[in-house]
Amino acid sequence: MNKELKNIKTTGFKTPDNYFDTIEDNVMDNIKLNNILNSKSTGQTIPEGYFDTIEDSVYKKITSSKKEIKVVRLFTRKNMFYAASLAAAIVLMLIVVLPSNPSFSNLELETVENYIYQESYSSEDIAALLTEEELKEVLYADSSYSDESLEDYILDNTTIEDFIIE
Amino acid sequence: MTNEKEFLIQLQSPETRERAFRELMSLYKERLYWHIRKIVISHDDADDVLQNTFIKIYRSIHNFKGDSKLFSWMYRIATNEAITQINKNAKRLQTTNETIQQTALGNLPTDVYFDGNEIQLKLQQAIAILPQKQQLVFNMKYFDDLKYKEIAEILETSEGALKASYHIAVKKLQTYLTSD
Repeated sequence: MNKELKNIKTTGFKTPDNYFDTIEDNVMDNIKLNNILNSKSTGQTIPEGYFDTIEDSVYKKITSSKKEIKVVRLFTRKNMFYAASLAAAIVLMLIVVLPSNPSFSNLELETVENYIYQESYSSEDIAALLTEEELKEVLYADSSYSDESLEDYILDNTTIEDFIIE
Repeated sequence: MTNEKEFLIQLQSPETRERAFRELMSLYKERLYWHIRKIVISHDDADDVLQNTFIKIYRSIHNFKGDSKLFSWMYRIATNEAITQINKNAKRLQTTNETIQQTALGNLPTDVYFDGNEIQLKLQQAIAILPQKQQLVFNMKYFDDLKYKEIAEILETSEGALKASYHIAVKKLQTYLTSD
């Protein structure tokens, strides 16, 4: 093999087949898509002359409510001191009085399962504990939709632009 | 493209813009692609950079004053975009540009879009070790066969400095290739 630089005429790089055939279309598509995405207009408009009058209307409101209002601080130094010492006392009490009380966060799932199993709750009992909102959610999660209704939903609620952006 | 000025007018007027721009792409896509590919090494990066380059050209064609040739101007944009891509990759992987190029080269032997032999691979490794300016000059002069005057316009430096860079680069590459 000849190692002279002058004998190497190509780099050895290749492109996928027909890569160069589609570049123009790809670039034009990209430019058009970018134009859509970059036209930052939301379609919202404002009443004519809105910005010309805004200073006046704001100033009018400022001058008409010029009464001095006394500000009462919600947290004074003294109140904060009382609240803090009370909170500290409660925390201390909880630590001392309830050293190893179980809480929901450290309950084993198995323990809960065993409890429910042994106490023989019926599904009605459990359902009674749930709110109507929660039940609704459960129902939705289980229901299956027919193809027609899904198709209708997509047709009614999405536009072709959504898919292009995707 | 016989008359660059006329072509430029077509590119800058809204009615003829798209057709003229498509023609521009067809004329330059392959040259720009290979120029970019030699800088970024992998096809995927080259594809991204080529598209970005054309988009940038399309957006800023109305600012093109004709001080330089259209061709050098596009080459300059492509060069900058390619270097930006390497910088971006380096930033994303939190490493240096040199490491990025070394990694790209490390992937070459298994790259489906590289069918070079051992010595071509070795040349790519040698080029990657050169300072960036020498890499650019060498590739443009040796593989793209551009004139010093054109390269000087693209890289905005003097012809004298380029000639020196090129000769240093060739010497280094020759030494690297013949050493074992």
